[in-house]
Amino acid sequence: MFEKIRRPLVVLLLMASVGGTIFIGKIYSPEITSLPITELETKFLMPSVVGDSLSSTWFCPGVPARDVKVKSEIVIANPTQTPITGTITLLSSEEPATSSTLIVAPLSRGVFDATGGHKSQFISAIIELDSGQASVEQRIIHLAGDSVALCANETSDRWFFADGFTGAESDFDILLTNPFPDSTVVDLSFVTTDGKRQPALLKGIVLRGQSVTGISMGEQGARNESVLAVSVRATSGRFVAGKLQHFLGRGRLGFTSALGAPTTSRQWWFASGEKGAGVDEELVVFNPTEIDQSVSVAFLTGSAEALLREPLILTVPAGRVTTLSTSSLPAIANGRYGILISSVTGDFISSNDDTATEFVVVEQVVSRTRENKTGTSVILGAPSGSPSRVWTSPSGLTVGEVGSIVVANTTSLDTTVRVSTIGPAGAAPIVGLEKVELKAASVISIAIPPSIAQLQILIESETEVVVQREFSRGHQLYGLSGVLALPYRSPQVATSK
Amino acid sequence: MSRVRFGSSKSGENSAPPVVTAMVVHQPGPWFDEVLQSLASQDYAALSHVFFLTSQVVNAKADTAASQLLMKKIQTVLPESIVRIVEGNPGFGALINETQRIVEGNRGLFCVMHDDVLLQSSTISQLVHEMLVSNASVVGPKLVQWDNPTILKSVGLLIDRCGEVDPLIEANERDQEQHDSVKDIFFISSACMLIRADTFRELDGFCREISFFGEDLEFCWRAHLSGARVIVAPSAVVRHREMFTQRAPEFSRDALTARHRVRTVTTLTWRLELPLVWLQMLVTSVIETIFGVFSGNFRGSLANLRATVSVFVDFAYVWGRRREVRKVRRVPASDISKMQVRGSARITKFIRHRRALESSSIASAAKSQKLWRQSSTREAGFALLVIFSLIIIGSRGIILNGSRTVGEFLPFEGGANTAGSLMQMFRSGWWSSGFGEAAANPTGLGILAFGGFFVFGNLAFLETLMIVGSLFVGFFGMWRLCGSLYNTRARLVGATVYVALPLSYDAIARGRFSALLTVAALPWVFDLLRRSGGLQPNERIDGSTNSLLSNSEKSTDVGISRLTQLISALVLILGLVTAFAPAILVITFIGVILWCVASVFGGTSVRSIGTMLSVGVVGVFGSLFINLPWSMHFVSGKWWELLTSDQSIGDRNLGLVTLASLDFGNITGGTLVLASYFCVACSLLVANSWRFVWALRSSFLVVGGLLLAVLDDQGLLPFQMPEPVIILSLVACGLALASATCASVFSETSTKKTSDWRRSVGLLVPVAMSVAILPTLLSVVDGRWHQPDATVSQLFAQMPDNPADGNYRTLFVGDNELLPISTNSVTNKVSYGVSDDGPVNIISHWAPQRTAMNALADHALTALINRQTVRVGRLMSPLAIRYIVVPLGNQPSQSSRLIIDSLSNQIDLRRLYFAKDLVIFENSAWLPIVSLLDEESAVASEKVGESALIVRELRSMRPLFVDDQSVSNKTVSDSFEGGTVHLAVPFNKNWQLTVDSARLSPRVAFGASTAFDAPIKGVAKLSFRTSKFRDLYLFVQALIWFGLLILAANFSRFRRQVRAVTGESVRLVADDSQKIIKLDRFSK
Repeated sequence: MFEKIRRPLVVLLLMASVGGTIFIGKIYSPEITSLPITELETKFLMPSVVGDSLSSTWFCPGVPARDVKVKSEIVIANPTQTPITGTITLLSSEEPATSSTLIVAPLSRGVFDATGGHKSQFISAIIELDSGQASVEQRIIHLAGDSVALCANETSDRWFFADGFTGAESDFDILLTNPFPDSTVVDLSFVTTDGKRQPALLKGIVLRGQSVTGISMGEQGARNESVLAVSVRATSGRFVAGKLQHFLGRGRLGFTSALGAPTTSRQWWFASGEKGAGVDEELVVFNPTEIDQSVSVAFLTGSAEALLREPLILTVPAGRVTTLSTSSLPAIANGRYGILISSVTGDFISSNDDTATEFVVVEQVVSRTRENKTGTSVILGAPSGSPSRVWTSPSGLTVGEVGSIVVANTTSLDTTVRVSTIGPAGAAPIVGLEKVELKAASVISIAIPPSIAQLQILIESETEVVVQREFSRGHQLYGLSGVLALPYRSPQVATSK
Repeated sequence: MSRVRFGSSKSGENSAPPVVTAMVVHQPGPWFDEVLQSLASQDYAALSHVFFLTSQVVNAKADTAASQLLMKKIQTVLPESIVRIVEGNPGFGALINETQRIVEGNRGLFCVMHDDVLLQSSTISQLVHEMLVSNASVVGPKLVQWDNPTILKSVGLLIDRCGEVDPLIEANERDQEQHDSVKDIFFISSACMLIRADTFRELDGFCREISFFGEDLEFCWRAHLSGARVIVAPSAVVRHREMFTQRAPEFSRDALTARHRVRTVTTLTWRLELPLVWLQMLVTSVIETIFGVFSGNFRGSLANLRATVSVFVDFAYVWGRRREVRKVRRVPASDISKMQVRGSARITKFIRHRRALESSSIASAAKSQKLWRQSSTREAGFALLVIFSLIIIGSRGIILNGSRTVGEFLPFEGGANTAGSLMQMFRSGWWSSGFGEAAANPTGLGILAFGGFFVFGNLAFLETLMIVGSLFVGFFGMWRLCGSLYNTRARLVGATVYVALPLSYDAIARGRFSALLTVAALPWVFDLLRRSGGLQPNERIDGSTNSLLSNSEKSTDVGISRLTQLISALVLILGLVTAFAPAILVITFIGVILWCVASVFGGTSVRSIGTMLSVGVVGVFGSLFINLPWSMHFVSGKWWELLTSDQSIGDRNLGLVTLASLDFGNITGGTLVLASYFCVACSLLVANSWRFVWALRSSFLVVGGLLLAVLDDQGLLPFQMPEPVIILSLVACGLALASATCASVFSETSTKKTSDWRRSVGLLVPVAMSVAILPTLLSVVDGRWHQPDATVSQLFAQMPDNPADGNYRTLFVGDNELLPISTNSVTNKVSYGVSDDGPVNIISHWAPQRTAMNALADHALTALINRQTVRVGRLMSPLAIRYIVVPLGNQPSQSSRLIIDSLSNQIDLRRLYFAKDLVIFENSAWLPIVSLLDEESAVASEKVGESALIVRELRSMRPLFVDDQSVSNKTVSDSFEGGTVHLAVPFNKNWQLTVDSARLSPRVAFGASTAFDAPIKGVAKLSFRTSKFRDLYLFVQALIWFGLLILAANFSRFRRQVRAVTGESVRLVADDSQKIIKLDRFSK
């Protein structure tokens, strides 16, 4: 019997195998059920708390160290039950780097002098800790207004600043920190209303190993510019870039410091948009690429459909800056809202990999004016991939009676938010803020009681959100300082891209 | 002319001597009826007949069904005949000798006959008459062609001193009675030979060691030595078919004829003449072999040369046989020499042939006699010459300047490597590559050291030999495997296609040493499998449809001795390759399964399949066994990854076309190789009879191999497979075998003309094959099979060799296939490996992979990949990693780019070199392999974990024991002031630091490495204590390898050759009765 069916059986078997081979090889595309490690290795675009790692390193953008009236601090929050040890290395513009060890007690914050007593023009700090749970940021106590800046987890070979302002002789300093032992060479270019400029002096700037270089844009031919975007690209090596802005007029007053954007992004999120009397809000969109970019601006006003309903489209010419004054948009009602700015250039659906090409950089400039008192804050948005379910504010909401966190729900699902502080007893929800309702595509501003505002704050949500902090500028100045909170890096965050 | 009719004589005195015909019958054709009738019609009365019927041996048992039928047929025609059925076919001479048992008495004559001779009715009487008249002992008839009796086949034969036969007549010479005189002759064909019984008994019959081809020469030569007369009686005429080789293709006529000729000459020539005669044979064979390439007789001449040379291994047989023959030597050697042709029978034949060609009629006949076999051997000779030339021309760059260091092609003699140092390393109990481990060194090191001695220490030559030689080894392996098709042209096609597929050349281009060795070895594995299965062709016909049965392969019994030999050879081959490429075991196992499944469908006997399966499994495990103690390395939780050597690399997405074309982008027009798949389909369509089984085997190898490769390529297998080139070696074997099967089928159909459509399809097969081999042909121009011009290793010169600031390690990280050393996987895309300072060499081909230091490296790299640290340099400082090298290749992968990105972010790394294809970082926080730690670092070394490394930088006060030796072979000593000595190797208590006379014990440092706390100052010396049993292990291992070599070479067969011949070699399985014949009426 087998003799008779043997040949057809063989032919059938072979044909099935050949068919299977062709099907698998040419047609069948298997679904990846589990992502290999390398799939998670995409670059996280904004500073974040690493989480499970055994160590973490933070590169702070730098502080002015020569002005005795200015005080600078490095704030390190330890949410764990064990002490965190590490080193703080201070890089200066004139002196060699110095290192010292530090210990942060469990469930507390450590505040360290960001200058280490040195009197260099600029100093920036590298903080290396033996815990991935720690979070670090830099705070400058300035007479023109206190400012908190995030510290970077990584260096980058390019940095962008969408908003630079030298109007009314305002100061605008770019701080370039090279934490590596070898020199790094960078090219700096800037964009004004007249177009892109790259002076020869700003080409091939050598950043010595383990040093900080400060560049005053006003002294580099960009004086009195109301529009001034800067891009710094390394021809070899990597570095960290931050900015110090001291606004002196033309509608802006105050002091702000910030980390630059290490990359462009297709999307930028802002939790705290506001329209109202005395609030002048601008979105500064910088297109550092060689092609024109179209961006859509959507406002998160509590309706998920609003995100999709005919958003505002702006065209940002190649290498130029476009400013959108949201205060003048009649379609937006007074009140708070979140903002999503997305580049719609190219194939939006298939181009998920934001690292593959360059898009735009967006900063939000908010000037609050009342009775001839003005306070200006500048915030870099949260780029693609940044929305997370867990955020933290290492330095709490430190100054004054005005302090709040603004949470924007970036999803189309309603969610709840829990706000906790980390004190000596560990993480404890703030009474009344255990379960704050937050509707889809909406924002909520949560005031933090002054009594606990100086503790590390933890914001947890069931969906991905963007969290921004607003706090007093201190020194009885009008207006608010603003900065993003720090998201936790997690698989959910990474895969959500 | 009056004739005496002995058989019809009534007188007792004049009665004719009884004649007993003895015939061996082996699977005869329809013509056998005529043979029987001719015997029955003899006019000689005193005639008896003895027949020996051979039988088929199936599954170790004699299948006598056909023989029984034949016996009945014989007894119908010749009722008084004695018929013996024997097991198998033990040989013509051996069977004829059995006549001595069946026939009693010496007073009679034996007429020895083939089963394909047709006697005239008076042939026997004529032969007897001439014997009596001439007082000869051996008489032979005139042989003419069966189909055309006017054409002569033989009128007796002469030989020269070398045993070369002079047939006296020209091929296709017409019988015009020009040779019809009775004459003394040196020997006559055993096709029909009348022998006096007493002479036959005195000479003890034919030589039992000569199975076929040459028994007549040997017998007649001994007859001459004993004083007997050998004549030819042309009046007796016999028609002869002479088609034995077609009926029994398993016997290689050329090889057997040559071997038996040489043995006959060396056993029967006078001892003082022998050296000169042997030298003459050798010179003649060598010249003939060279000319054979062009004359179409390459195969035969090569057989002659081999037989001549093998006299040395036959020495024992020759010696014993000469002693046996000594008792019959009565005639002086000079008398024998007079009977031999003076000069060379070969030249005599040649001259005669040239003269004959002048005759147009003979020339015409010779032209029509263009034998297939001759033409195929001529083609084979030419083709071999061309193929070998092309391989050598294509490899000229490698042959002249050595291989470039690419992929796994690491220089054998890089650094301080010599054959001696390799052997020293092999003997050491410290495996020094990678981070090192207290374990047995790889067997491959020992093999290289051993090989190094054979090439007089020139390891570079050994490397070239292994690379280029692999191409030839693969060719000959496929040549042997295709020998199963019993057709020279098929063998040639199979071997040519195999060597022309781009797989080996791609392996050379990309430096895939493991793949190259696997491709070379796999045909040998299959050849040994088929030999162990005793697979033989067998054309069986379906009685109902009168067509050839497709599943008609025959399985002959393979004796235990032969099986032992085959298994030993398989274990040796696999063991040898496993020492370098363990993945061959996986592929062999899969190949054996596919082979056996195909055999099941092909109808191969269960016993053969079982044998092949068992042999395959024994081969796999045996090869692991002979690689002990190194192969204990595979006893690990990750044994599969270690065996496949693929480091969990999957989901390559090369694509079906790339895989099927066996080309990974290194050869122009690689897609043309797809044409070779036509042969696979074609072989299935056209193969008939036993060839269909071969078509099936080739198809299963192709389809199974390709399916596996595609599944692995898509990441659909639950386990990792070896790299694609290694999997595809199965496909290459299948393609070559399919091509050979097609060639075999078409060569048969073209001669038999049984099917027109097959010939039509056959026209396309050469086209497909030509197209398929075209890409490789074009690659010959390159000279080194497209190895890259600039290799990564050339850039390593930027890294110092034995620097004053201490010995260091280099970490290679990135795509597995781009790394030039043995690797560990970190993710499914990223692997790493480390090497000591100095040039990377072959030692790095193997590395221990599961040490505590590997765990440290794994953690550091995982943190790097996940961007959890910017201090990877510190994490790697206890590993003594100074340089981090990321090869990028022509098209950097996404994972490599991410690694570069992450490495660029590390603040304790310097960018030393940054190019499109390679990036090198220097770790500013590195520690030398042996270093004296400062106080803080010494304290930190007592801690376990990354936190001890991250927070502060480890500092070395100074390096120790800086030289170009590996850490276990440090020859220098160093003075120091005391402190903690850190040794960047996995902890082992056999490490020993001696300061002056004080021996210090090591401790674990950083949870992985080794440290000595030495609070004393003095002269320090570092050493590793190797177990005394290590040498014993190696001695036992060497004995095992040597034993296997002896078994595989089967030296015992030479002992068997001199063993006394007993009647046991012929085994009767059935006969008609216990009848015997008594010769008692013979008188002179």
